[in-house]
Amino acid sequence: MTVALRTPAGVRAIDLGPVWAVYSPLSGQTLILNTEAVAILEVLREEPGDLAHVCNSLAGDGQHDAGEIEARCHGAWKQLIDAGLLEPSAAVEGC
Amino acid sequence: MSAPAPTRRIGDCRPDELLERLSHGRLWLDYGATSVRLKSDSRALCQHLSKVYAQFPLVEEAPWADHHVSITCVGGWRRLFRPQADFSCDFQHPFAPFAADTALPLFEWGSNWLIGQRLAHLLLLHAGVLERDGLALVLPAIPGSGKSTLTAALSLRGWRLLSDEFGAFCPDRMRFVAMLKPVALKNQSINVIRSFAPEAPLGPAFPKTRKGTVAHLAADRDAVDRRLDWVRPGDVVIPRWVADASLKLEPLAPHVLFGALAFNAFNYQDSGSRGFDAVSHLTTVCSGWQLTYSRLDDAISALDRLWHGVRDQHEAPSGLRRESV
Repeated sequence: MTVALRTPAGVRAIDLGPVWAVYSPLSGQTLILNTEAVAILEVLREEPGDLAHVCNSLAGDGQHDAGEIEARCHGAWKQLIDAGLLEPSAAVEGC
Repeated sequence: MSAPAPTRRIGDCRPDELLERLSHGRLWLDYGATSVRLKSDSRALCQHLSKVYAQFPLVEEAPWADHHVSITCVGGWRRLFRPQADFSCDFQHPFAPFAADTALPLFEWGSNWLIGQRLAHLLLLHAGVLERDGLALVLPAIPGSGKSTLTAALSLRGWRLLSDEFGAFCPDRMRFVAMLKPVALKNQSINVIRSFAPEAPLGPAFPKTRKGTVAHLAADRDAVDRRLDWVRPGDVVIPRWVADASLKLEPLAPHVLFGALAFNAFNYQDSGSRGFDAVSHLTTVCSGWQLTYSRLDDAISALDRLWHGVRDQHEAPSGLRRESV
C-alpha cells in the first residue's frame, strides 16, 4: 500500500519560459521549477497518485518510456513534497 | 485623482512655527502609501525637515496617521558632552540613539523600518519607481548598484518620483502608489548629483552615519501633489553602475525578472499568494532589462528612448505577453 499524493488546492504557477515559478499555499514558498516538475503537479491536480502513476500518465501523453520519465522525475518528487507542493490524498490499495 | 494643491507647504512655514508644531506633535507627512505624525523637540530636525520636505503640505489637522513617531533629544548629563536624539513609536524605542545633529537620518531610517515592518497590504519591492506617460519605471537593485543615484537623476530630468527605497505595489489594484520620501544619496553619489544638477534641492550632508555620508534629495512639487495617483506598471530596469563601462541595455529573461522582483522585495515571503499574484502580474505585463552604465546622461537618454516603445506597447490592445496558468 502506498499513499496517493495530490496537488493541493491553491497552488499557483506562472510560465517563465524555460522554467516556472510555483507557489505553495501550504508552505508559503515560491520555487522555480523545471517543466518535468510542473508536469507532475498538473497530473496530480487532475487525479491523485504516486510517482509510477504520474510517469505512466506522462508516458501515455508522449513518446517517452515510463521508466525513462521516472528516472527524470525522481529527483523532483521529494523536493515537491518538502516544499508543500504535494500532499497526501488518501491511502490507496495497490496504488 | 491627485491630492488637492495645498494652501501652505512645509517650506513656507517659519522656523519658529514649524518647531512649535513639531513640539506638539502636529506635523503630518503623507507619503502617498502611508503617513506619519511626527513630534520632536529637535531644532536640527526642524531645520532639515523644512528643506527636504519643503513641498509637502502643511496640514492643520489630519484625521489619521499610520505611524506616530517621536524624535526626542536625550536628557541628562550626557547631553552636555555628547547630545543624542532618540527615535520612538508607540512607546517603543527600537534603535540606539543617534548623535543629535543626525536626527534627520534617524527619522528617515526609523520611518523606513516602520514601513517595512507594518505595511502588509502592499507588496514592497526594493526598488526606485518613477512615472512617465502614466506608466511606472521600476528600478530594483541590490545596494551599491547606483539605484538611488539613477532614481534621483531621473527625477531631475522630468520623470515623476514615486519612491526611491520602497516600490509600493497594490496587489488588489495591480497599480503602484507613491512612497514619497526624500531620496537618500550616499557617499560619492552626493557629489555626482550635485555636479549633474547644481540646482538640485539637496539637504545637508551627514558624515559618519552607519552608511557613510548621507544627503537627502527633496521631492519636487509635482511629485508631492500627485503622490496619491495610482500608476500602471510599465517596464522593469535593473541598473548597474560600472566605472568606465559603455552603455548597455539588454533584455532580461522572465525568470530573472521574476526573481529580481520577488526575492528582492521586503515582504514577499509574508505576502502569500497575493505577493505571488502581484509579481506574476508584473512579470507578465512588464519587460525586464539590465542597464549597465557609467554616465548618468547616457543612462537617461537610453531610458527616454526605451519609454517611447514601452508607451506604444502598453497602449496596444495585446499588451500581455505571457499568460499565468
